[in-house]
Amino acid sequence: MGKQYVKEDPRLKRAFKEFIIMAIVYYIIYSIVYWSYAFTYGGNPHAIVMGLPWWFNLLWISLIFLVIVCIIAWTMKEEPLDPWIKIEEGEKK
Amino acid sequence: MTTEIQALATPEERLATAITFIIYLVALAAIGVYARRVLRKTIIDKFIEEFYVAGRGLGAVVIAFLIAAGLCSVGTFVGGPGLSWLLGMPWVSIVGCQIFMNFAILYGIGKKIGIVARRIGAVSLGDVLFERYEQSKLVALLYTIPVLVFLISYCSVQFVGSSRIFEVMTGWPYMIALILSGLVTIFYVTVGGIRGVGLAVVVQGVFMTVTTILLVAGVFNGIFTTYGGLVEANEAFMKIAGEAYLNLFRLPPALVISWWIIFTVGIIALPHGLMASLTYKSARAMKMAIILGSIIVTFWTYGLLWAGFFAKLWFPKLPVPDHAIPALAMKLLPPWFAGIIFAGVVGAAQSTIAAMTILMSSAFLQHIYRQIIKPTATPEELRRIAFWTTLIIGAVAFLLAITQPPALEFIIIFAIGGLISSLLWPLILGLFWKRGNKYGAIAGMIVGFMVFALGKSKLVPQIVTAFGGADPVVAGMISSLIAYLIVTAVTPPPPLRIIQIFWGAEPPEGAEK
Repeated sequence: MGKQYVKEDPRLKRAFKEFIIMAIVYYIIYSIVYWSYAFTYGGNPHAIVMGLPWWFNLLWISLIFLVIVCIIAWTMKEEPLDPWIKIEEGEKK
Repeated sequence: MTTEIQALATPEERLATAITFIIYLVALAAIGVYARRVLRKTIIDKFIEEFYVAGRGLGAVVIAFLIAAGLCSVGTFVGGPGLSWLLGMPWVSIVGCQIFMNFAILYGIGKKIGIVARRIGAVSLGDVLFERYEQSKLVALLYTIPVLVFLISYCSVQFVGSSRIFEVMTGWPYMIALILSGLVTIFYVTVGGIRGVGLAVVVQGVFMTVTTILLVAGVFNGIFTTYGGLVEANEAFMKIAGEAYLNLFRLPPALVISWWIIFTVGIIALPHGLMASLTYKSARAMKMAIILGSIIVTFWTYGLLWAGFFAKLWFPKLPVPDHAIPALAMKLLPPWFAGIIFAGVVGAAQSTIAAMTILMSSAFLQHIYRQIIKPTATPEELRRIAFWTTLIIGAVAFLLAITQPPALEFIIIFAIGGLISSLLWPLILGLFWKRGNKYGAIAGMIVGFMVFALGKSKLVPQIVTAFGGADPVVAGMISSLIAYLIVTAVTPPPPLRIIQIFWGAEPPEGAEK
């Protein structure tokens, strides 16, 4: 069977980009930052970092990413949710 | 030890705890009555859509709590803090990563599911998979059967867990707790559908949040009063629980990483969390639910995990780790506050039970009744079946909770691991890879679940050892992906109609515009 071409819905194209952004921010960057810190200090129960027990700073890392996640969500395009929408010329490209 | 915890409060204080809880239950029952009135006004042709997805009209607050409270069950409010008390920092570090579940579900796949669901009139995740995989009844069954079998047991464990906490905190018998909270839950789900669940979950979410605020305030007040600061508390931990309690490397790294994968990647394959993607009313509601939900879950997760973790300072020995939160509540807070905490814990259980009951009911109605038993069912018949199915599913979970079978915990592990292993890739690749087809999905679902089950049951221990001791969910997910890709590669691509529905801007021929 040959390749199948359809005119794509720009909302669904953006949905894929958003999935990728979520995966990069949450699954990759957050994981790397969180575990880099945890594996650096997590073997030493006496470690004091920035005047606090090492484990307490996991909260600050998560809160920084919470702000990032909220900003990403805030800037998300508010799409119409009608099943089928008329595509404007500019959006076809 | 139960009596030791009860001794932390006088009989009058325990009565105050019970009264606070009963007021909360009355509020839930009232919500069920209200949701029933809304349902009665719905025209019969739209009843199923209203019952299962609230006419796709739920707002940001309800959606935020529906995901957060649906996924943060007794596990987050009782079992998780109990494991924090038992395992210390390794567990706290791992579960700390679940905080962005609303972001993963709604931002990651919520928009696509929401738009496609409106195109095909889906009322369950199974409908989306059924349509994506060329209306394959086998795909629908591979989704429906595990959902029905495992999630009923999961619901029972929620009933059992919350009733045992009631027993500990009030001294009242287990059966009274089960009857009170169980019957109210079944009532508001059965008569109110997803709208009743959604409204109740907001009340429960508020109780869960207040619970966390009270516990965090009580714990930090206790730490600063008793030890003077966190650094001093850290030293006290090492004296009371030993250095290993704070050492991340006391668990094998492969196990730590695999649990991390379950709590981040795996969570988006859990159908009771994804249900909210079918119900939001607008993109703005979805967006605000991501922000609100992320803040709430971060607060719940850190607040409760750390409360369980710090409980070690006051209770170095507990015969049952699950008693960490009730013991803290009885020790650190006044009785009326302890009643609120109990309502919060039961709310966590009830919200999960309610979400799962609706999910199971929709799976049965759509994929067993409508596709196999009676494809010609009228809207009036479907309305009746939806009611009775929901009632029966709730009743079975309730009856299982009465018997308290010992294998339930094992079934829960199977349920979550099995659903993630079998559903993750057919869901993600189905939504975002045009080439994916029904043969690949069937192979991925079967292979993923079988590898997980063989590894978890230790029938094939090499599945665990080959991955350095990681949880078999990892092997299940990897094998599911490989099976999906290989089988898809050697079988024909899906028809154009599927591509148009899931990616296209224009409806396929014959579809309603």
